[in-house]
Amino acid sequence: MISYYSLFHLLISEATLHWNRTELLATLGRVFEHGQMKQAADKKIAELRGYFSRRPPEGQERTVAFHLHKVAATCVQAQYYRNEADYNTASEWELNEVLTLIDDVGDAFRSWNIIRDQPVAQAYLVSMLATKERKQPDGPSAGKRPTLTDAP
Amino acid sequence: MVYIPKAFFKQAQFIAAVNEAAKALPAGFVSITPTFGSDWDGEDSVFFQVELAPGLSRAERLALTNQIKWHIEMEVLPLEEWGVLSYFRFHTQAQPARIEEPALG
Repeated sequence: MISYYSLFHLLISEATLHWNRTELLATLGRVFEHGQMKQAADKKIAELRGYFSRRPPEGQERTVAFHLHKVAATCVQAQYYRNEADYNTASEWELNEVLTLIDDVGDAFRSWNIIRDQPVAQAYLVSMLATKERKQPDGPSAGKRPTLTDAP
Repeated sequence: MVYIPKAFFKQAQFIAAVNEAAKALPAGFVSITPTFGSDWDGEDSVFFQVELAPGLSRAERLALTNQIKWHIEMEVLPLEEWGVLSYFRFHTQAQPARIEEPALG
């Protein structure tokens, strides 16, 4: 649970870092909410998987995408297990499982430190804010999932 | 309209795809078992219960769990191909209990 909140607050502090009215930072930080941050992470994960499925060449762009995927994916996993720990009292945990979750978040911190100044990383932070998206022109949507009606 | 993800109504095919992808996983990986349900936001999800071999160090576990998540997600594409979010939980295979023999003599 603590590991999730450490990542949650890391991302919020990074998102508000450039706000120079320090007395308002805490208020600004409360604009971010868990549900919206998960949606932003899910969307980013889908977008990056699409990118990796095209087998991009080695290079900085791929490295940045890999680390951003790590951050977003860890955020989603850690949030799920934070809820499990909080509300599913029937679930039992092994020490190794918990240590793995903690280490995973530590790994996400390292990934973030590598990419934190990259434009895509900064754009990801902004995407965590609750906003209504503009209607996009028709085209493939990263969020569209295969359904019963898609089955052959 | 009721939304039913492909993974839910084609569970056997989904499990087959997971098992096929799991063949390429390295030593230290023991088994992977998917179950289906909803996450805490009510999103259709698959929960992977992964069993690892005992005796791995923390660093080895972290490297292996990263590798397993990456490989399964990129090969199976749970969201894009099957319509479900994916969550992973890693257990360590229990070591058989040792029977301590009494010292003789």
